[in-house]
Formats: sequence, C-alpha cells, structure tokens
Amino acid sequence: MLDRTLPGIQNLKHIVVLMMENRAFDHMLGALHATNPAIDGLVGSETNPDSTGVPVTVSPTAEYQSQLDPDPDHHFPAADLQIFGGVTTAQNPNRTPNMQGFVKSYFNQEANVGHSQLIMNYFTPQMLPCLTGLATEFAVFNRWFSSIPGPTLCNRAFAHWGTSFGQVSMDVFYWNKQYLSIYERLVAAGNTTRLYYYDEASSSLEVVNLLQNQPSLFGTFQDFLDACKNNQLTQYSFIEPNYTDHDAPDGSGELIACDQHPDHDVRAGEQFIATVYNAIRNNPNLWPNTAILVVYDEHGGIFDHVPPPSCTPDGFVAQPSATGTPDAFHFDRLGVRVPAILISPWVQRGSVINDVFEHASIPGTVTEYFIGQYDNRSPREKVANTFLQYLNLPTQRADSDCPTFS
Amino acid sequence: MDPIHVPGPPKEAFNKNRRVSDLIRAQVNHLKHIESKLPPNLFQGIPQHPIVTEDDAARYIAPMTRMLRARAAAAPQAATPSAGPTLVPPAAPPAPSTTSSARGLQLAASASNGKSASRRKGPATKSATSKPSPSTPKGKKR
Repeated sequence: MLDRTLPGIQNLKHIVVLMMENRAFDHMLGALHATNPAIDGLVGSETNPDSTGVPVTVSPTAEYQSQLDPDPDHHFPAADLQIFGGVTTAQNPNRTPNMQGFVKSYFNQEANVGHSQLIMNYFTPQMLPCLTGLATEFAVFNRWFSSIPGPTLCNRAFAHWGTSFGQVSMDVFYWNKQYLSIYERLVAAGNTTRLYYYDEASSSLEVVNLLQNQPSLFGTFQDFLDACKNNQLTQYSFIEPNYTDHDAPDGSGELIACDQHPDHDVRAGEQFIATVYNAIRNNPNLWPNTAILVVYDEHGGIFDHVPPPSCTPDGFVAQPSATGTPDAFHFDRLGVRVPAILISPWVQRGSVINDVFEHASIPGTVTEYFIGQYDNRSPREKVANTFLQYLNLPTQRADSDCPTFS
Repeated sequence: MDPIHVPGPPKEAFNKNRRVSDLIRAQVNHLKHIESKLPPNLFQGIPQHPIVTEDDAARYIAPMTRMLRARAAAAPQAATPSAGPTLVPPAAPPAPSTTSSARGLQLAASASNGKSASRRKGPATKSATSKPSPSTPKGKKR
C-alpha cells in the first residue's frame, strides 16, 4: 500500500510514461555495473555459445546504427531459444532459463557466425549520456522485465491493459474484452489522460484498439510539449516515439525515427528522451509534481544475462499454434529484462530498485494512485509491484542537484 | 550541475528507404484491417501504393491516422465498451489538432547534421511570442 503521507506523493499530480523500443538492459545500461556494483549489469565475462560452440564474450563495442541489421528476431520462438539456450521441454520438462541462446538465435537469421556475435555488444555509458545520466541521477530498476518473451505489441498491451488477453504475437485485437484499458478507467473515474504519438505519419501502435475506438484519447508529441508549456498536462500521459524515418507531412523536412528500434540510430532516441525530460524538468510548475518512467517495451532479441522469473499466471493460455513452439504458454513467466528508470526530484540520487516489475506495473501504479480500489483487472496486474513509493525523499532535491540536457 | 550534452545522429543516419520492420508491417496491417471496413466515401481518400519502405508506410499511415482522428472530432462521444461505464472525452487537456503534428516534428530526434542540439532551430523560434528553452534539445527539419 502506497504511503500517501510521503511529501513526494502528496505533491504528485502527473505520471508520464515514455516507452521506447527493443533494447535489453545489459545492452544499454549493463556497463554501469563497473561504476556502481549495485546495478546488476555486466562484469565483462558473460558469454553465449555461437553456432560452432565457441563462447562469445560480451563486448563494449555496440554502435549507434548498422550492427543490428537485420532486426534481431524477438518473436516468441526466438525469445524462447534466447532464454533457454535451445533446450526444449521435450528434452527437459524441467528446463530453466540460462540466457544462452542469443547468438544462436541471431545466427538463425543469416547463417553468419561473425554477424551473430554482434548480439552480445553493449554500449559504454559515454555513448548514452542521457539514458545513463538519468539512470545514475535518479532510480534504475534492476528487475524490470518485459511482460512476455515475445514481440512489441503484446508487450505494450500489458502497459495499456495489464494483459495481452492471451496474445503472444503482433495480432492484437483487445477491444471490448473483459478489462478496460488504463485510459478508459481513468476517464470513467473523472481523471485526465492522453496517449501521445509522435505525428500522424508515425501514429500509434494501438491503432485497432484505442485509436480506432477512442481517438479522442490521443494527441501528438507537439501536443504533449504544448501541454507541458501551458501547464495543461494530463494526470497520466503515455508517450510513443517516432517509429519511422519519413518526410514531414507538411513537406518541410525529414524526420528521423527516435524509437531506438534496430536499426534506427540510437542517438535520435537519446535526444527524444532528453526532450521529454526537459519539458518537465524546465517547468517549475510540473517538475515537483511529476513522476516520469522511461522504459523499453522488450529486449529486441539482444543479450541480457538475467533469467526472467516465473510470475503469476494471467488466466490465459496461448496454444502451440500461437506460440510457434511445441508448448503452450500460460503467461506464467516474464520476458527478457529491459531498461527502466524512474525520474522525480523526490527520488534519491543513485537509487537501485531490486523488486521485480513488468509492464502490468504501469496500469497497476496509475490505477492505484489516481483511482484507488479497482477490482476488474487482470491477475497479473493485480499482483504487479507498483513504483511510486520510491518518491521517498523527505525534501525535494534542489534544482542544482538535478541534471538538464542540451 | 552543468547541462549534459546529448549528441544527435548524423545526417546519413536518415534512411526513409529502409524496408519496414515487422513492427511497422503489423501497424500497417492493422490499419488495412480498419480500412477494409470503411464506407466508400472514406475509403476513396486512402492511398493504395505498395508498402515496402518506411516512407511508403508513413505516406499510408498519415492519412489513415487523420481519418481516425477526424472521426473523433465528428463524434466526440466515444464508443462505449461493453465492459465498463460510459466514457466521456478527456476534459482538461487542449483538444489535439490534426494539424499540430507538423509543428511537433521539429522538436525532437531529427538528425543533427553535425550541429549541437542546443543550437538547433525549434518551432518556438518560428513564433513571435515564445522562445525555446536553451536547455531543451530541439530537432530541425532538413
């Protein structure tokens, strides 16, 4: 139960979630272990066998673009291989995650041994000044896992609905199911909320569900910036990055994707995260009253060393025809770990959070804070940890103690 | 604490002819699913070009999004899901405009072209009444 006497909670008026695309924790933040051993990143000796059986060691040689082309497979069968190293339940009914199948999985796409080894690369902190700066200046989650060992849309569904309604793929049709999205819950309870997609040409990934049926919930990224500037930010905001390189619809220029999905340039996403942060940070009417969560939807097929834990079953079953493996999936295990950072001037600098979180924690947290008791939720969301208790400083950090980005 | 500089991508990072990923393919397929149910008067305005590249996808997604958002403007009372109470439009934020996205494009995550993010021209510089925050990274169109 959230302690609402905490000064940071008493001041809290807005929650902003920015969900980026397809990068694993170790790939983006693993190098921080060297300077803060409390961060469960890389020691530098982690390996995966390649297709010839030779161990491939992690390497701090990730590049902003061009290494992860083709896009590493992260559909359910590939994620299963990555997590279990190729051991099937037929071979071992009691198999356990060993995180030994990432190189094998990437090899399966091009049969190129050398290229498959690139999946073990990670960034140095100097290459990601925004993400690593936020992680070290605020709170980083050691155990935020994607909700499903699978691709984007079913994982994002957990952030919107607290479940994927039994889906483990990109075919997502959730409208009129038994649970409401967090946005519908908030509106029905008299709260304000918006999903902000980048622009019309990028749009939302929630097209068949929320955009089709609840278009009034949506705004553009410019609308988000305007709302921040004009002190009209909704209580809950969910931001989607630009998913494609495209010409501006008004013909005025080129717009580069900032979602960090391979093989988009990671620097564009760094700048996008900084822009979202600065929009809050530089408004004294918002900064003390807003909690920002930066999180990635799933690992994108890229190496992470922490085995995903089991979890409360979600009440759904994906049959083998859906999983693409010999086994049904009971939504009783989380997906691969992803970067997640909680930002607020009420968060202790250098916090490292070790409790287990997943994307159902997002609607769980927002519901708990803005609505309170609410029973008609998925089993996963009901038991998901919530994260506002980390706004626990007795006094707000001084402006000079919180970074800005240029 | 000094501002932390966040470098932007080089101009050559932009490639609108990149083949669409599975993600964008799924997004387009979902829009096609919606399109297949459109009445003829709305369907006629939707482009029907092959979608191979990100640029192809964007040129299809934009008018579909405009059409879906226009439906919101035409019918502000949103559909009522069977599992919950009647919904009403969000009250506090300003109503999003279907024309405002073009302004949003200027603000973030465009290729730096080798220039410092803080020196880039943002949309606010186009306004006579406001100035950009010097510490807010601004993208620019090229």
